[in-house]
Amino acid sequence: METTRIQYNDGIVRKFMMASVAFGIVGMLAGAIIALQLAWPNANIAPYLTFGRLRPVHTNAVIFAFVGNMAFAGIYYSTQRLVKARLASDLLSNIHFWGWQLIIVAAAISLPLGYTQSKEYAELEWPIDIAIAVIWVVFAVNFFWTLKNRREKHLYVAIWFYIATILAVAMLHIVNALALPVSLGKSYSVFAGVQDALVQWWYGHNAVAFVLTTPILGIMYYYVPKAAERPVFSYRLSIIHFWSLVFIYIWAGPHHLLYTALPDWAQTLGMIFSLMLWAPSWGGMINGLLTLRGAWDKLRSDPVLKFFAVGITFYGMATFEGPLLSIKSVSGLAHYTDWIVAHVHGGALGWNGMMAAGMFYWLIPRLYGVPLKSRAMANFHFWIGTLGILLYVGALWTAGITQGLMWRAENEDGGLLYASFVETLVAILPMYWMRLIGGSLYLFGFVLLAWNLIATARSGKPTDGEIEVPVLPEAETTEKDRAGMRLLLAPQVWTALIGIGLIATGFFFEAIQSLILIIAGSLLLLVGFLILLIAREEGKPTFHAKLEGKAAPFTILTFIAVLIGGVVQILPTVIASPEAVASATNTPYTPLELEGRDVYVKEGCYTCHSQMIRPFVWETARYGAVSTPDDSIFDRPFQWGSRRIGPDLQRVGGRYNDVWHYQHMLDPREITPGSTMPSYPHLAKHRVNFDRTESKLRTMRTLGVPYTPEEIASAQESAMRDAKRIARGLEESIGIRICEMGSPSDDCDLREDSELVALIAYLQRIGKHRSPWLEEASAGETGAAPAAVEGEDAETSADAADAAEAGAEGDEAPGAAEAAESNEAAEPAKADDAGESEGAQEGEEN
Amino acid sequence: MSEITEEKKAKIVHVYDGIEEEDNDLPRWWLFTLYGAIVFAFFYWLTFHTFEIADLPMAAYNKEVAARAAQGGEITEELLEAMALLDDEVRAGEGIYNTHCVVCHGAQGEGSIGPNLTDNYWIHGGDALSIFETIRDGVPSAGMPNWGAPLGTTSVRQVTSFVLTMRGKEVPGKEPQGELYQP
Repeated sequence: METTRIQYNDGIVRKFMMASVAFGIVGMLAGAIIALQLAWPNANIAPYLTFGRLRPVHTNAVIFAFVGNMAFAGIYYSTQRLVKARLASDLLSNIHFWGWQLIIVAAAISLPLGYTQSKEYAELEWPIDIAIAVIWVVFAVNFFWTLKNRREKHLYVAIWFYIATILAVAMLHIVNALALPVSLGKSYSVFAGVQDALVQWWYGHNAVAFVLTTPILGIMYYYVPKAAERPVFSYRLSIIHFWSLVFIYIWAGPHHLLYTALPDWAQTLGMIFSLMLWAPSWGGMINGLLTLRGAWDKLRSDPVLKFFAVGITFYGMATFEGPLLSIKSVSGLAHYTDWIVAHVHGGALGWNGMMAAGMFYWLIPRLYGVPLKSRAMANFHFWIGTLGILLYVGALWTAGITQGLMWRAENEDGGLLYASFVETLVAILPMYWMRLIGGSLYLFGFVLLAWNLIATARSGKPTDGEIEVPVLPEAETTEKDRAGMRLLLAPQVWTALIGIGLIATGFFFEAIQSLILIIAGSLLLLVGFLILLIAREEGKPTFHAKLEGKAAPFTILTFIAVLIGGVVQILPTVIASPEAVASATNTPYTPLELEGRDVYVKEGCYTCHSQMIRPFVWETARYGAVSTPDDSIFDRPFQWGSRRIGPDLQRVGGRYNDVWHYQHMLDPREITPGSTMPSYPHLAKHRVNFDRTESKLRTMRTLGVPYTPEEIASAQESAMRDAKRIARGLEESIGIRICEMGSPSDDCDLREDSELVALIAYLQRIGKHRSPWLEEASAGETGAAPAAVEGEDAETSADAADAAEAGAEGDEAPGAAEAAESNEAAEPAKADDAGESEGAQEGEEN
Repeated sequence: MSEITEEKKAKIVHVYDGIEEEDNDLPRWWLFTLYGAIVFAFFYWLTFHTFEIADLPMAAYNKEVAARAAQGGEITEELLEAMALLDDEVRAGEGIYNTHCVVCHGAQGEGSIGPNLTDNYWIHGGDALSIFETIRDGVPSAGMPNWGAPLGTTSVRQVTSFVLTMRGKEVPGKEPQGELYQP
């Protein structure tokens, strides 16, 4: 056979590796800074470097810049060698690299400036989202083109995981980022409320799956046997855990939304699929750890294997903890606490960070042709990193469970033992210092790694791998036949697909039909499984062995596997949404409230405050009535949140008066000693651009929010009128000095057109189904006493009685009474029957 | 020795870039966790959704709320006035006041964000039961939270007792609001 010598493109691997290390340190440093801010609020530097704006910088940097670049380096190095072909295009490789780094820089600039969609790990605004999609396609083309040029017919398990990564991330990113732009720096999600929550956590959970897990598993399958020089434990296990992992992972997203307003069926699917995910995840751990068997003695001397062994162990721990946390009752305790933060850092620091370090230490001598500069320092990095993780995770486990238990602790007659939220925060502050120490140790370890890699690179010179291969790519002769596509029609495939289809249909039917469908589907799956077993013949290639030889059918089947879960969970919710909007008792935000909501989004309030009250008596006692889907039906994006560093805000509307909010935003500690919330005095002067209000409403209307043309036309006027009224009210009550709307002078305490005024309008609206301002305006028209800021004298005695009555029921049955009332108050209030609607409103808000 | 090596070689099913792949049996305990979780998922779904034997979160919550509502004693004007004379009761109320109320009503009850509690003018009624109910239910339109839910009835009664000791002390502060209360 004619052969030729090819050189691998290892230059691109070096670039991605160094970028990963650099951005890893930046991301971890951002993490250390926000950890400090949580323990010591003075570390917030307003407006750009507050916790709310820096937290997305940390998460995005670590996930997409550190792990993303690390995965690209690992994938490009191993793929070339596993398929015996140089990367298809040097140009595409370079576009991929520089494009990705530009995206990271754009993220690092735009997030502190407040350009955000405020969906976790998907905060970047739409122009950057488009860039991500384009660069991802470049990566995909480069990768699959390389597979087409391969000289190794069969695809190794690492490649399967890379294929799943590329497909799933493209799908997740594009769907979740769908938004309608208002301007270059602002857009509204096409999904609202419950749908948006479901899509976001379908994305968020699977960003963990397909950015932080599958590429790293592929990397494990290449680098661990390489470094250990031991065979991979089990091919069969890799087949089963690959397919079960990519199929099941997608369904597990709703475990982030247990006990929320998400429909129960979707919550249950999230929980049971998370439990079913345990074994597939551990399949990867077993295959990794058992590959090290017989090489354990090398662990003593080789830092690379130490990192891998601990990384895989943390993977096993985190993938056991994940299903545990997905059990509804465990989630009831752990959700919104630091237990979740401990869990993700067990994964990020333990699994991703350690695997990255192991891979870099293994790669650097091979990429520069000299031994690692300091093995002793790599060993030191290992120990200090491991210690850092244990301190970090241990501290936050303690903090999370402590706070979760304090939230639900009751006194002897059913009230809350820690009725003031801040008590539960102050109690865990020592743990926040401990986590800062742990995280800093880990960061220090990575600085040592950077030094070691750079010193090694300097002592050597860039070295590219070479190999003697046949001239013709294997694919030229294998890919053209039709046998591959015929594999897609094999009985195993269609029995599996129809079986899964029947079971999924069963979820949406009543008892008996549902049972029949589920059992029929399960039987069909069994039949497919039996066909697989029977079809196996000694000496002949199995179905899967044939599939591994065909890249295109393999890719198609993988895509079907990752597609199903999302279709079953998301489609029914999206289809149901227009009816839900039509029957909503909720009404759209007023223009000023919408502007205030955008300030809430911009400042990243969701990073510390939830807007989702779960059905627990201790939760409704603290925050008010259980959240309903209606509460967030016009919320684009939804702001349910995932962590409560401060209290839930779902029913904060009307809970305090404007003066309270004004003083609290200027200095939270004056109102709540011990609070760690940043101070926001600058909001009192930052202006809202009311010229854009109208186009914001118009965009919302395009998305299906029922604003009338008149409301849109008068949006700016309405927002300015309401803002004036709030500012004037504050002036009257506490004598602060006001700057007039549009005034060039900032010589005052509060601008009428400030972000703070808009934010107060929004805060007073959250959880109400009708704007309090509309109530007052209509009350004024019908001749009732004009409303003062404190509002006492505007209230008629009848209303007071209503409120007291609703409250009296609410005392013993806080949530139920109110939930019932809010359901009954179905008639959207009209402007002319102000008294009546006010009464209904009082009951509802209480 | 050489035999073992032979046997090991026989287990290798693939080699990629020097990486050898064996095809060992799946660990039995691992298969049990896989099948066990699938079986559990099946029965969990049947229990909660197909046959609705067990309560989903909202139903469970409503039951608990109903059970709690069935308990609880009655609060009267006489009881509150009597309790306000007990030192322990008032001291307990003062503690709660200093934690939760002081921000808006001031350290001496002189008022700031909220009204003055030491004059004889009351917006929502100055009798003990009205004060108790105002604290318990709040005044949403004025930004006064309902404290009954988070604190519980006993604590609200204790704060009421403490507030009753301040009534009429006339600490200089916010100007009087509401109606004159005359016992």
